[in-house]
Amino acid sequence: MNTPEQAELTEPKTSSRRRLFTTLLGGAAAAVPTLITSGVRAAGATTDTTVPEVQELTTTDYATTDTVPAKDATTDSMPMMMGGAPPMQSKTVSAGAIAPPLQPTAQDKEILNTALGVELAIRDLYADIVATGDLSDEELPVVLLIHSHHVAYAQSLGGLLGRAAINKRNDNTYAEYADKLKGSFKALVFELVTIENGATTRHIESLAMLEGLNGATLIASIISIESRHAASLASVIKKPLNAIIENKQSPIAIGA
Amino acid sequence: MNDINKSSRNNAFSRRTMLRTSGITITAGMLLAACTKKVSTGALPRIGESPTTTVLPEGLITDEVLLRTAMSVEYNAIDTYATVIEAKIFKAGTNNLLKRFSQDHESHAEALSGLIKELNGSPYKKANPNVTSLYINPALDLVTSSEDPTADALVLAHALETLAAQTYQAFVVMLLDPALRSAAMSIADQEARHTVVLAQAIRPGLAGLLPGTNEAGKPLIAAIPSAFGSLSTIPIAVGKPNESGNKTTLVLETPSLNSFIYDYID
Repeated sequence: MNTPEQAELTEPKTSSRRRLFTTLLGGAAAAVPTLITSGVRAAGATTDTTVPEVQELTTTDYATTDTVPAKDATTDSMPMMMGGAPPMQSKTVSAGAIAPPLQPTAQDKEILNTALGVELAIRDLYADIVATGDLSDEELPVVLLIHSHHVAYAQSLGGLLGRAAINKRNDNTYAEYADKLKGSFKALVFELVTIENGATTRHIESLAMLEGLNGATLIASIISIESRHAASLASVIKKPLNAIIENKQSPIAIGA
Repeated sequence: MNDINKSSRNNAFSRRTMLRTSGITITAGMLLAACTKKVSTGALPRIGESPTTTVLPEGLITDEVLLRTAMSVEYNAIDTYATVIEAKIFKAGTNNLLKRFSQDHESHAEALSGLIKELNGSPYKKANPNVTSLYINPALDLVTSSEDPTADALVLAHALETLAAQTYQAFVVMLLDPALRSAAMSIADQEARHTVVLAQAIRPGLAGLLPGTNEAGKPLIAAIPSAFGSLSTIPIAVGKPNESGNKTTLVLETPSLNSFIYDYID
């Protein structure tokens, strides 16, 4: 039994507990209309057309062709990571598309190492021509320029391959042409056109097998200029137009 | 007195309790309202009448779209050469060269058409409208009104071939099928060779193969302009020189998001 003093002390406690329940219930009851109101307001934003003075432009009014539904496509801001693949390079891709890898795959490394070997062989062939010292002041800058390009290709391919780079020239390619690069400038250039055309064909065929985008873009940028090397050299020795603008050369370093 | 105090203390609806309850009630209500899920429609409020807008169809960049775009660039070249030949800017020799290049572009378009059909797409047999309106039409206007239309037409043709070659190179990174990347670059190979022939027509000889600059320090057209294929803009200076002796400079760019031939474009 509680004494009057104890009762006096416990009464407020009972009272405050009751008050607390009352308060919570009251709060919940008061929140219901607020919640209903906010829900109505949200729904009204899209469906309420009873107020003609205020019209709204939704974001879909500004939709551009860049906008892609998330369910069947991806964007740069939402990188697609399928099977651990890196984000897509393109802005949007079609449904079900699997992102190609950026870095070279194991197969890519073999292909790129072959390309590297070919470029190192061509670099050495140009270096041999320069070393003979038989070029005129007009001819030398052209040969040096193209030599420097092949050095750059080899360095770029080596850089992309990293530790997987073999960095060894393709001896078959070098041996096939080293003995032919003799005589007049015209005779030299005739062989160089064959080499450049063959290298271009080799790279175009490689592109069909390369999966990694970094390797593919590098090879594509090499093709763009190696084809110019071939056409430029062909135009220097006054080859017919068809021989300048068509490339029917087989790829060099077959079976490499 | 003591009884009054007791009764007032037991009364849950005293003024003080009512005030306290009201305060807590409002606070709790606001808290709960704040915790509700925010429904955002992304709508921008606007006062007054607004015209109805037609939403553009969604354009996905697929291999088919890229090939259709490349095909449209081929038709840009075909149409431009036809206009230049018709304008009789060149003599028979150069016209024959342009006719040969035009035939190559027709072959490229045909090859692309086959690839597009393999993807169950529909080939686009027209020039790219954006490339035509933004670059080619203004350039042709300048060329035909130029004091030296022959030189300017060669510069335009060189720029067009460069644009075509760059377009294929730029698409390599976007094409998903490696076989299509290879096919694209085999066409780019020939476009690049066209640029060499035209560059040699503008700057003949061994010196014309190498990059260089003119007396004003501006880069000259070269058959071998760089070590790697460039994807940068293509500036050309054509037309009648102004009081300072400078021709109008136009800057060409490869097709991008606003000039792709999406599959919904007929």
